Amino acid sequence: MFDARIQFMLLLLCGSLAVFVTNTGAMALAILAIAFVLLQGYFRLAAQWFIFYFIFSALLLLLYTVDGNGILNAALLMLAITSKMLPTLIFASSLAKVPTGRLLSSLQKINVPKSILLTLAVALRFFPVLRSESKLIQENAHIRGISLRQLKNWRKPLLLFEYAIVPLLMRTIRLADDLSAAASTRGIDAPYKKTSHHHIAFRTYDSVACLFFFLLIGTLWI
Amino acid sequence: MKQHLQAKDFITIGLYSIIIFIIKSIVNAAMAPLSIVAMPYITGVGMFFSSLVYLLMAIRVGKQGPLLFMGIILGLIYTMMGAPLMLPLFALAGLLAELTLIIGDGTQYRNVTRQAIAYSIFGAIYGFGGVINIYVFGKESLEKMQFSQDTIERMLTYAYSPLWLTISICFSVVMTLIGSYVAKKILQKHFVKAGYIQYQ
Repeated sequence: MFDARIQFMLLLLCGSLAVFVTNTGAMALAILAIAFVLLQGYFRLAAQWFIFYFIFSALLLLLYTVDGNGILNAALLMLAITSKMLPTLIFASSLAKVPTGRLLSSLQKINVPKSILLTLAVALRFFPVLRSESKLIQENAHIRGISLRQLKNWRKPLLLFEYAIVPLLMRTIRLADDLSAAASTRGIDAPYKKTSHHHIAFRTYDSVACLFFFLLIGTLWI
Repeated sequence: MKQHLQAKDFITIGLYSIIIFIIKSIVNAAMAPLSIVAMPYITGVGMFFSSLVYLLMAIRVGKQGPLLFMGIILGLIYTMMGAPLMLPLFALAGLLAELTLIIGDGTQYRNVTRQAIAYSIFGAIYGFGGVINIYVFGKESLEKMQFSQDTIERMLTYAYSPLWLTISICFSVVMTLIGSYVAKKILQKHFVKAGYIQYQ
């Protein structure tokens, strides 16, 4: 596992590069990203991304060769934009494996303002939680016959929106309260520099990650 | 009296920003097959559905700053997804929208009408997110993606013609205001009665 600071920088770099590279360059970026995941020892994750990316690019190539009209063109537009985003997502997937405490203390070391750091950490950490929450809510809604999956409900989309979002918001109100109670018990409002038991330092293995900086910039010329 | 945001408020903003982001992505994904025709309208529809979440967040926090921090967080998430230009744009949108809320005695932060206006201004600037890439990187970035000539022409028309820009901005503003009107009813029906929030 590499230093979280380097991972974060690489993520930002990859995100900015994605706008400039050509289609072949985007493919090179994705291969580099998968190699980066592999080098950190996440073999399963890397294999999953590799298979997904292989199928995805095959589909994209197929669509390019077919001389399509309206609908196919729109699908191509979506896929082309996704192909630019995928490398960044692959980088992000390995960053998501870093424990929150470690990530926070790393970002604190590069002087990100505390307010933005806290908000961002909460936002990123609650992606999966919200997904499981809304799955639970949909299961309950299904029993009552008001779930998103039952097609007859789509006749009244606004009501359906209300049934889906209100329980979720009710849950998040409680989540936010619980979380802030837990955080202030641990002294988040204290005006001192926070310490962490995670030791954040640059190790020898991280120099491999630094190589990726040059490799990533190199994709501009592909 | 001016109150500063505390850790509790940041947690609230973070949670609700992510819900707003999810709603907007669902709308984007649902409208993507139509994007060649409906490109100027996507923001408006997203704003319509997300205004409920925003109003709940703004009223629960009830202080200066949620829009600005929401803009920064949304911008950072988009940066991680490969669109770094969104960060300054959304931060600017949040800042300008916050400026409309400054005048008042402190109760304006819990006023639904004022918050709705602020959010519609946020939405008007937010709508530029779709076209700003075209402004900055030009036609070449579209051509690099190997789109058909027809698609490129259409996207350039949406990006540069003042008529389409005006339509897009007006649509966002109007949809946000309608969304806030619906949201106020939903808030009254579920959240005020349950005692979760109080507004002016």
